[in-house]
Amino acid sequence: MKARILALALLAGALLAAPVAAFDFGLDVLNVSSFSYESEWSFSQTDRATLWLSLPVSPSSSIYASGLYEFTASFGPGGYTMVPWRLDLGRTEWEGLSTGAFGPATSFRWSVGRIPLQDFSGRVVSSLADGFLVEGSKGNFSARLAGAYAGLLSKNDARILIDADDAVRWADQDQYFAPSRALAGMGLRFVEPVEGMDLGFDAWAQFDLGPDGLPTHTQYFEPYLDGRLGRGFRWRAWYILETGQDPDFFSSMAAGGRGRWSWPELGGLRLTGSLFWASASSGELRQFSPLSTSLVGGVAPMTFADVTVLSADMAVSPSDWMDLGFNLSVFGRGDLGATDPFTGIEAALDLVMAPVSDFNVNLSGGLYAPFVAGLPLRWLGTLTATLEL
Amino acid sequence: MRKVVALALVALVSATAAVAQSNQFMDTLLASKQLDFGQASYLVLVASDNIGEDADAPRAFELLGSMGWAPEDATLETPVTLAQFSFMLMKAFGLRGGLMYRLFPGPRYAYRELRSVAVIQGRSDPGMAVDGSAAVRMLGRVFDVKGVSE
Repeated sequence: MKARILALALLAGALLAAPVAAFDFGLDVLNVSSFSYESEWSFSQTDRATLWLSLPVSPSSSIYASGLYEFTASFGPGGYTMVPWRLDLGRTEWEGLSTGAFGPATSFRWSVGRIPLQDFSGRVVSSLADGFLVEGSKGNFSARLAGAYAGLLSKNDARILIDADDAVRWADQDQYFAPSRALAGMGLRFVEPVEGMDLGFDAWAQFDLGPDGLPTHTQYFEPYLDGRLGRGFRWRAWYILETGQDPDFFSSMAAGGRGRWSWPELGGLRLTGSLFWASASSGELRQFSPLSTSLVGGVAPMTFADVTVLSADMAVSPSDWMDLGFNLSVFGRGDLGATDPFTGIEAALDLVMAPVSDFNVNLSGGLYAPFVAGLPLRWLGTLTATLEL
Repeated sequence: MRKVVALALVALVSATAAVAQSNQFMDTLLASKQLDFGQASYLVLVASDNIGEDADAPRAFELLGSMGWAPEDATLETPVTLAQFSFMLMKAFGLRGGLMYRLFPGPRYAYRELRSVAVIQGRSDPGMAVDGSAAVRMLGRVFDVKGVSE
């Protein structure tokens, strides 16, 4: 609540200080309708309206504030659940950028508020959080530092599922907020120490401040490579070592890689191959437990924990306002030495149409076939539409 | 032909500031930290073939007003905002714009449209002043969006 009051106070101050003509504001409307079938049908509906405001505070800094209203409902043969309204703060930050202030080829960027945080792979953290981010660069080297608190976010936005306390909170419909956890992060990146390849290192830590149960603290160390070869090939590879204390020491791992070939002259053809792995609880390793849970696959109901995914994508742009993509993914367990290591296969189609710059429609659908005997096929079709007013 | 001349000017400006300019208008324009309606209308209307190169800023501004592309209270010396300059570019080059621009054509959605197609880049707000070099860079990007061969 204090953070919201602070954000509102910052916004009010900026409104008074900034020139009125410099305001920009808008309303983004999102509709997501999903139909799925897996032994029985279900339908889910999400509608979100995000009101945003952008205004300069000085030549080198500005404030962006947004708030959202959301309606969600899901229907099935057994009845329906509905959340008729949810009001929350969206991305709301005071950010600044100065170039050349610390010498030639230097830049300094800062941001404070409800800011987006993401590690290189997006598999450790990829969500908003209330805190700060500072980033400096000189020549081909950049460094960043972040600190944040996650406990004022909606639990659905934060997606924190690290220990048993989090799972209990997640299942409790009366709990709105995410678990009380502090986040700290740092990152280093060297641009092209070798021609065509960047080298970087991200590190994140999470401190469990919750009053319930034993605290679980975790740390994540993520070296990565981000490369280019010729005009049309990009690749990346990353590895994550997770350590934790609950209070016993434990560790887990994850890794991934991706190669993407692009031929703009062939209807924007892109071919992507990727491989992701997140450890299972096996031997000395625990199941990988990131700061924010992420999904793998578009149809398969799987998260990035105890999983191996081999994926191939093909996408084309038949016109400048249309993208068509096809994905085939094979899923396995995090412990590929286990009996029956492969768990299923998914095929999905994705059609994005953006006939104008402020309205787009995304139609996606697919099928997930589990390899486990007795489990039914899962069909999913989703319509997403966005309008920017 | 006029587009070629305008593009040549854009290329000249982009290539180096040290190249001597004989064109007085371009010299004044590039030195300007805050474009006014006279300068903006001349630059945009000449580049878009809506007026001849032999016209001057007052004539260009008069034409801009008659087309309804300038605010009623604007004068030749009124500083032009980024949103107003965007609207001039959208109208003069006949850019289609997004759904909201088609429903409510005006500076607000013109600014949004040119941001979305990267004609406007970097830190910006609709009320900010437009300097001469930024205006020329935007004009060059409009040619990219529109297609030079048209």
